[in-house]
Amino acid sequence: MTTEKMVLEGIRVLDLTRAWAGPLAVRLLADMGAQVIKIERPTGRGVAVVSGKQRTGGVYPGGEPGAHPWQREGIYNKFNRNRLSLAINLTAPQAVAVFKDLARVSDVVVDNFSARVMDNLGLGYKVLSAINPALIQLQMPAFGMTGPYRHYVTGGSISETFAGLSWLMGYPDRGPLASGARICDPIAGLMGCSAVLTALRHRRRSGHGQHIDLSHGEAITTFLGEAAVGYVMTGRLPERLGNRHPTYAPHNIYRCRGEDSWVTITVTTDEEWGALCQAIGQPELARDERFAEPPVRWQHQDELDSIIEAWTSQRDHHEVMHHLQRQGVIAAAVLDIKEMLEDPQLQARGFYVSVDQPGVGPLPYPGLPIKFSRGQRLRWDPCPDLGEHNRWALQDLLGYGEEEVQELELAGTIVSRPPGNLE
Amino acid sequence: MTEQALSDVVVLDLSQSIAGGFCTRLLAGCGAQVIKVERPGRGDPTRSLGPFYKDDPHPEQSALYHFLHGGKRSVTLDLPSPFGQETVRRLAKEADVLVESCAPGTLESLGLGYDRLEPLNPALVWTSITPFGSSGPYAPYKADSMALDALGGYIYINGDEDRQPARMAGPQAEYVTGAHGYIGTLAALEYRAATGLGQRVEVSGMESMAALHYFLTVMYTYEGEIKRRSGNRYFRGSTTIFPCKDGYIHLSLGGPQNWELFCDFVGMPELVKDARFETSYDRYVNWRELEDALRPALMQFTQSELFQALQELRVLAGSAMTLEQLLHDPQYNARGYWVELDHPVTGRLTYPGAPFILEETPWQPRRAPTLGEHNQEVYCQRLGYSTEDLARLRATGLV
Repeated sequence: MTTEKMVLEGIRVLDLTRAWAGPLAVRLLADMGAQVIKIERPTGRGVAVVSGKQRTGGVYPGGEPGAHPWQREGIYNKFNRNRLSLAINLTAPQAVAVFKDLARVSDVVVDNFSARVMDNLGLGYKVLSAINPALIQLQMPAFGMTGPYRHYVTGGSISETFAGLSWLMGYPDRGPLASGARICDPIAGLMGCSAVLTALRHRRRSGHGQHIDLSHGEAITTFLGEAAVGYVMTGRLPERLGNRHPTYAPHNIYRCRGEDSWVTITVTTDEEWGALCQAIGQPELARDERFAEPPVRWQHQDELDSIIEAWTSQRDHHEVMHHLQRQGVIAAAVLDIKEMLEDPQLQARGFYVSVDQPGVGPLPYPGLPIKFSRGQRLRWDPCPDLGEHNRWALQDLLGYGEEEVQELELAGTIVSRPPGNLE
Repeated sequence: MTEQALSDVVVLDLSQSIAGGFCTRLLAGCGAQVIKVERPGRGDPTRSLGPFYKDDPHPEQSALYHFLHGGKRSVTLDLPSPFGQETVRRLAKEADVLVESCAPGTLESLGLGYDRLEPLNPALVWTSITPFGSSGPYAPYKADSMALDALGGYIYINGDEDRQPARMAGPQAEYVTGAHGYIGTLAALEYRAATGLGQRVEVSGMESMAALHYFLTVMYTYEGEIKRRSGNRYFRGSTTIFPCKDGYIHLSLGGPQNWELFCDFVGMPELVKDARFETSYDRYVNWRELEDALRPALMQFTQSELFQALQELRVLAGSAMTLEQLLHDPQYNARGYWVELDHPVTGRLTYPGAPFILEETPWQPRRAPTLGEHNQEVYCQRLGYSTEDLARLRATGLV
């Protein structure tokens, strides 16, 4: 195998992000080959308070945080792979100088602090662009960098509800539903990564960097775009339809054999309807007047759903999916995480990648859902230990002398383990 | 007009799926010249999907089409015909990017696979966006958004514990897939700028959804727990949606300080001492009791009062907004999120604007094209046909 350059190799990113949306935006850049320096708080990876009942935030091997919890937290490890770590206290003046030196030799800076933080640190776009006019700075607070709510804070769950998603989702007879997966942060993360790549493209032509202001709320509302335009066009708010569809029927999630086992089935054309009738062994249904055309099928979907569920409930959900798909009908097994990890499609595609995380051991993690015929990543590096690359960043990259580095270490401005964890 | 980030990028859009359309929507919004190929007569499949302007089903009045295809150039072409194949080859030769969403093998069978076009234009970035990718046992299968929600792990964990699980609200899975298509395309353009080489980029919808979870994978691989549905509650923390006077409010009541500030504000300081709600995890486990305890207090406030007052205290809170409320929201309006666009058939309407703000090269809101609106521009100006040629091609149904 040749040592082919990775797609984004040569791009250097300073990653100040926390939690989910920001780290996901940067993980995409890292997985595609950008060199990412995670700028971490010396206090560790404060996802979890690790004493007894208080521990609600983190996920640890066997539920045990262990002696080095900052190396063992699964969510952090999952989102912060393929990175280098510099643990530095940015509230110290010397640290701000270090950060500026890094910004001078970097291409992208990303944070998802609340809107005032970077300015308060003296690291706003005005300052950084004066140091490096080619720098791209992405800031992604919940509501964006301007406007009356700019200082308001949310977790991703709340952004999705504010942005209109929860209102549209869930059961017709119940209030708004917050998505179990909280899809808000991924959406903001995807848009953050998209924005950075767009700015890189502009920089290729102009030589200039720029500032990017991303509001989670606006990103999510954009992912409800057709519903917003529909409301404007009809004057009616979209109904909360549960698992049904405004046009297609059948369109539902049907019970299958076994506990809490389900399959989705969607029919979008008369041809698919005929195929479904054949597939469930009731070809006469295709000639039944109640179901003859899409609008009448839609009106009679209660009856339709009971006929279909009588058939699915006797069968395994994988069996239903394969059987219907082979007849040209859209059907999908509702997978839990164990089934996903064992899924033959994801396995055939090599989607889950094995990462050997120190302190945890080799485990499968979701890979990159984009395959490049040139420049694909071949080796997956674990999430670095806290401050693992302090010396690399300061000495190899910035050319600081031994004394300067020792001074920063002694002052506690850079650390290689959280204070209080001295063993 | 302000220069846009992708003004020099020419995209040939052969995609017919919502995912493909969202990818090229982002390309067009950032300034790329997107040539969208539609079937003569019926046009893109989204043209026939409701809701429609004033509930009048008409191919120029679909909300989904208007949203998804803003800023693109519409060209009609009978793609499977020999003329269609030749036209695609000619356009692909001049394009920077080709986006397609055909079932695996379809374009190959027309002699338009990547292996045939790459020699004509080695710098071409070819982006293929399909539900499952071109390999693996599900490659021939079909999927809509709900199917991707199901296979990507979103439905099993969505909804109430004791009920049928719930799908996502709409085509979010397709948009997520399209966004990965955009990211892959732009990354490949960056690679091309560095190396001069084009390539084939492939995005799978199922993988796009499976890649994004927060705790789902590691909760199982690290701790052995298979996550199930838990209503509006999340993970193991105390964030959930509560009813209030005129609607609903989403509150995150984790962290001791957050919890104390909140209890004081709603006039129930005694809850802080209540053993049932001591930690965030307790509040997660005993959420029904918590909701009962808080209901009378929260019913005194509107969602907007709670949102503003709690945010000023830095307690994480968000109203459950409807799209109608968002259209009038002071934050969205202060930032100019909503935009007005004039369309020849539906007139001036409000549309969603930019998903992110690039301050030097802003997103350009532009309306969706009418069917074949850019035939003249593309066939005559770009490909050199005469107006008479175009009329003949129209008459034969090739255009």
